[in-house]
Formats: sequence, structure tokens, C-alpha cells
Amino acid sequence: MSEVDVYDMEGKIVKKIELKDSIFNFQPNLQLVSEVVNMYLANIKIHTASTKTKGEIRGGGKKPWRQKGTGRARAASIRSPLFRGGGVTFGPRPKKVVCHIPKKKRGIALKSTLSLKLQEGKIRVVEGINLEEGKSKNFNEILNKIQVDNDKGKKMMVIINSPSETVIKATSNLKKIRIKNPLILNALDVMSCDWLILELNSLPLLEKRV
Amino acid sequence: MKLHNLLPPYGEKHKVKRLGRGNSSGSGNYSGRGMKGQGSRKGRVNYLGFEGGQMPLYRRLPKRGFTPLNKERYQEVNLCSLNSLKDEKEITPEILRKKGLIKKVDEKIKILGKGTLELTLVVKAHKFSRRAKEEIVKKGGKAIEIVSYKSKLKVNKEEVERNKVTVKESLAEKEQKTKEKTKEVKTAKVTKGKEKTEIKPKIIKKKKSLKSKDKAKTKGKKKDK
Repeated sequence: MSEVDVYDMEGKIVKKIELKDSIFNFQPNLQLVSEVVNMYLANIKIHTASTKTKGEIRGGGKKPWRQKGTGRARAASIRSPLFRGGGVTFGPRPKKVVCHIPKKKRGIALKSTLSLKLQEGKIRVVEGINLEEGKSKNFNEILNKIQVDNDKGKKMMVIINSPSETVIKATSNLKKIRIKNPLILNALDVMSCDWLILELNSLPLLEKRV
Repeated sequence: MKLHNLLPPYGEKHKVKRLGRGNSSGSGNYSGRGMKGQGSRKGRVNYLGFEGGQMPLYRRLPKRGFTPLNKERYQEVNLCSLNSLKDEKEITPEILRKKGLIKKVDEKIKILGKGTLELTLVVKAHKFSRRAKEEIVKKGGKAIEIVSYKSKLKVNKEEVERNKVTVKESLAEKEQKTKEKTKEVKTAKVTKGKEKTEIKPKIIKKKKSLKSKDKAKTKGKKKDK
């Protein structure tokens, strides 16, 4: 079992908590993680690029010149892909691409990323994240107090069961912070952040899921 | 560990062979296509059994034979391979699967008589060859045949019991009714005396018994539903 300090909002260590070995001390499978992460990244792509083919381009109904006798190459349409302003051959078209990976594999990937994060010591458990005012300055102060390196370019994933309105308002203008529910957390989220900040209440939900 | 540290799974990415990029690369000049002709061009035909465009052998000869749809297929296990199962006293499909002697637990197994058996074993399989059976029995073991039902046709146990009950009931009813009728007939005989012939009541008996059968059947069906 791996023990982790639980921080207060003030930055004090309140108590210690034991994290489940089956999730946070898992033998990480990096190949599988990359497979799953690539799946999530591929599903983000929307594939809406579109070009027009010869048939779709306006005009070009009349034969430009007669078939024989001119000495020129034969041509049927002014919109042929060989012409300037003609259609595009084999250009991109909008399509539906959905990659799928089995649930068990995704679960293993999430477990291995979480345990990697813990190995690096980049998981922080905080008790009861809440703010009186919806100010991003106040939220930044909390980050400094719980000793998360709050440098420029660092990204944080904050996991809260049900964030209050003030917290949402305070973080909405901070690009480095993303708030997520423990029920929809995935391997890509964990891999793409520098620090994982877990609210104490979210742990049982996370353990139930994986 | 961040996103850019991740490597693709082993064997996922291959290096593309770059053709026609100078002789020092090994596949310059002809790009691995040899010299001239159909084979050196794009879109050449090359599949198994291709004979350069002439009608190939597999099309020259007429079709023959068929594959039966419901052929019984068995996974074969030989006697000599059972010798490796020293620790097991009773051999079941699950154990055979564990030891890697068969590949699927659900499919039927036949024990064949190749080699000699050195152990006394109780073997459970769907079928035995004659020699295999003899050898197993000779060593003091047992060859037990598994009667297999298709897994899809598994009957719900509750349903079976329910059906049993209804059948019993219907049988009991039938017996009772037949008894009553016989009594009635007897009483009729007694009351009306010997004047009437004995043929009539017999006919009535048969008819009534038939009706009672039908009733029992219908009752049973209703209960099933």
C-alpha cells in the first residue's frame, strides 16, 4: 500500500491516506497506454476537410474543342482535374472515423497512468476544494499552498465530484487547469497533465470504476 | 512521463522502403522490379495459381465433392500423450485444456489408441477408440463417455420440474376419472339389471376415456404457458 498525505486548503497536512494497490501501484504497460492514448487523440479529429470533384464543380458541360483534327490533346470538360480551376482527384472528403478499444484495455491504461503519476510523486490529494469567491487569484493561491509547482506552462487536472459554482468560475479563465469528474477520467487526461489534483471525495468513485 | 515520451507498441511502425533513390541504396535503378515486361509495370497480375493468362489448372478441371454441414468433429487426444498427466486421477476436458492437449473445452473429444498407456486413469471423454478403451480398462482405469448436449439447447431446470409436476397431475387425474367411470358403469349395470347387453357400456367407456385424455393435455399446456 502506498501512503499519501492529504492536504488542507491552507496547505497543512491533515492526515494520511492509503491508496489502493490495484489502481495506484499497478505494473504500468506503456505500449498499451500509447495505444489507448492514440485512440483518444484519433477520436478528437473531426475529418471535415472537403474538396470538390470534377462533377461537383460548376460549369464544364460543353466540350472545349472537337475530338479530332486540332492537334491538341483530347478534352471533354473544362473542369477536368488536368485543367486549371478543375476538380480535385482523390481529395479529402468528410467522413466518420471512430476508433474503438475494449473497456478492459482502457481500464488497464488508466490504472498504469495513475500509478506512473504516483511514482513520479505528481499526485496531490486535497480535502474539500471550495472557494467563497469566484476569483482565479484565490485558486492560484491554493495551488501555491499545496506545493504544486505552479510555473508557466504547467498543466493541472483537478478531479472533483461536483464542483461548486465559485470553483468553476475561478478556474474558467485559467488555461492550465481542467476540472473533471472522476467517472469520466481517462488515460489521455492523466498523461497530458503535469499534476493530478484529487479531491478526497473523488477517490472512492475512482476506485469503484477501475 | 508525458505524451511525447510514449513510444508506439513494438512492431506497429515499419520503416518504408524508399525505392529508386540511387544505386547505393540497394534498390535504385530498377526499384526491385527486374527488367521490362508485364511484371515490371504497375497493375501486374500475380496471384496463386496464375499461369500467365492461360486458363489455370484450378479452373480447367470440373468442381468435385462437398463439405457436409453437420459433420461430427472431434478433438483428438492419443493415449501416449496422457502419460504426462501423472498427478491427475480423473481426466476431464478442463484438465486436458489446462495441460494444452486440446484447444477448446466446449467441443467434443475423442481418445485414440496411439502409443501405450502407463498409468491407471479415469478418463472422461465423448468418444473412445476401441483400442484406447481396452488399454485404459487393462490398466485398471475407467473410460467414461460424456453424453453431450448442445450448450444452446440448455433447458431451464425450473421449467423441467414444472413440466414434471403437470405430467404427474394429469396422470393422477386420468386415473381418478377412469376409476369413477368404471364405478358409474358398474352401478349402472347393477341398477338396470341384466336386461341390457354388455356391449353398450364398453363403447361409452372408451369414448369417455378419450375425452379425459384430451382434457389432460389441454390443461398441461395451459399451465406451461
